[in-house]
Amino acid sequence: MRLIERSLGLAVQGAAIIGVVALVVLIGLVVVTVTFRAIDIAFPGTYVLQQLMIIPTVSLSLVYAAWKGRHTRVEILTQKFRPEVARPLEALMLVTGSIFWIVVGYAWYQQALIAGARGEKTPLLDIPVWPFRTLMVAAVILMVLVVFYRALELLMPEKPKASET
Amino acid sequence: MSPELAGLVGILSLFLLVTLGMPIGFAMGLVGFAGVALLLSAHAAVVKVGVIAFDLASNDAIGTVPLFLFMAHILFVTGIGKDLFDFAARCLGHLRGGLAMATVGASAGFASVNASSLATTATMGLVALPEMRKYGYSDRLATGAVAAGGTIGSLIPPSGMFIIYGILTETSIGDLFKAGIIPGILLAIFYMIVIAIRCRFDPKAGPATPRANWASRFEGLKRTVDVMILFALVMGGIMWGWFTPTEAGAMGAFGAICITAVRRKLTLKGLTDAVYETLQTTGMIFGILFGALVFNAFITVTTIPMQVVGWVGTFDFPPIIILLIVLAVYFFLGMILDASAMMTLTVPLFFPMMTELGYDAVLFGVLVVRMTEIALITPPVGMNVYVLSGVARDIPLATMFRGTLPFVVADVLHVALLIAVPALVLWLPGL
Repeated sequence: MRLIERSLGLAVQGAAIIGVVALVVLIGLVVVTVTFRAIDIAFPGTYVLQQLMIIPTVSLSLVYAAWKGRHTRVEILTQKFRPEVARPLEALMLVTGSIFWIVVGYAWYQQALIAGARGEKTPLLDIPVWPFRTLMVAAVILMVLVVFYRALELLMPEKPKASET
Repeated sequence: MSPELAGLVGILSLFLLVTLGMPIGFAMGLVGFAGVALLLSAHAAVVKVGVIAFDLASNDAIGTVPLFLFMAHILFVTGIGKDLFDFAARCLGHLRGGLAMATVGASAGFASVNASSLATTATMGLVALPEMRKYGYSDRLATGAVAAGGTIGSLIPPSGMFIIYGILTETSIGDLFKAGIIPGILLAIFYMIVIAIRCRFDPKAGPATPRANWASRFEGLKRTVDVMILFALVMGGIMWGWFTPTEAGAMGAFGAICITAVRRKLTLKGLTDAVYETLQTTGMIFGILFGALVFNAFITVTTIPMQVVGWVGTFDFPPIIILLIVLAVYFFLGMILDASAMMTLTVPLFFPMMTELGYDAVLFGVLVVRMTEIALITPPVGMNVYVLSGVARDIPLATMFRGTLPFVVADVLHVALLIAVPALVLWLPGL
């Protein structure tokens, strides 16, 4: 378990760093575009770059939110259950719900294959789109792995809290 | 299975899964996918999911979410929440209930650089609540003002709820931002009136504090003026067409970094925390949005919204009655669901019906956001109250919920006013 957690943690950290870089680049691009536009200097293609930067920011943020357990749940009923019921139920819900993300990953994988075969490129700048599509697929795979890991954790006996040890 | 029956089964399954604790976005996506697969084909469902999800992930408009979140998280480091409260307290503190009014005013100000009601409540809970308690304010009034003040956050732009609504319904986020300004300011005034009335009948609930002199007020103003200018630039930029909402978010984030640096609060840790917090919240929002859009597609395939419109039409009710019924549904759903869940679960059903009945998408958006915000202070799932209870553990939840009651009455009157005078919402977007 520890090895899995460490490996997943490193992968998520790496994903988060890419997401952060994309966000910072996005801000920089927009600031430069808007500033120069104000003095009538246009950079063709910055809009395309902005769109591309949104892809890693959004898809990798999903992974990070899953790792931090921040995907919104309604707990009004489940919090009333005893832990021996609530934990397996939560695990079951996570695994069942991840089917949707597996579908998303599969659909994006198909799209990436088609885009790669066609040599899809962005307008104006001719940047190949396949790396971004591949990144999205990788992000979803990582997210599903994180969700499975969290479900597995819930099925394990509850760790005693630090104050109890 | 007929599309209508499949739709009903889908909606019931969704509520079951959500109640059993499945993350909302996962549940909506799963039910949406299964429904489309059932009604069309598995292949069509996979293609649909892929296209919807890719369109969302590469849509320029969604850049507003991480950018405005980043702006808010960065400004949080500067301690602007405390500065805004200090300034408002120096201006209003000498009135009965003045500190509670200052809390509401500061919440409105904080909301202008922050996309979240919960963050506004948490910040004001830390800043304003101890001050009000120090001066002998009743716990009910103090916690009510903080929790209710937090709800202004979703009306005054940038608002996360408007962004979600805009993406779900393809309504202009810029127009929604503009539309929220006047109702947001009005709501703050309504809340201040509630506080004034409460203290008129029970002066001990909110005693006046010593009057601050003008030099002190000016000093307080100086400490907040940079953030006010940033808000004016960001919103002014959208209103006068200098930039799109996404560009406004980026400029706001950049401005927030500059302000933090000028205030000498920009540290590597602060920056890193802000970025990672942004990433988490962005993931949380998009986790829901991906699922919601797939569920939306399923509901469209079932034709239920159109059936409901036709069915409602047979009753010959005037549209206003339908609107009131829909808002009542929101009011009661808000007692058991959180704001984002309520919006994403219901908008696919109600939006087509309300626009078909002739209601403006922006007006309906403001009303829906208003109702989801009222849900934040009504029991048993009043998230703002729960956040506040994390800050003030010694005040019972029941006291806090009782404290929010007069503000809920103000909320209802506020919604009624917006319905009666839609120009309050639609005037700014129409300029």
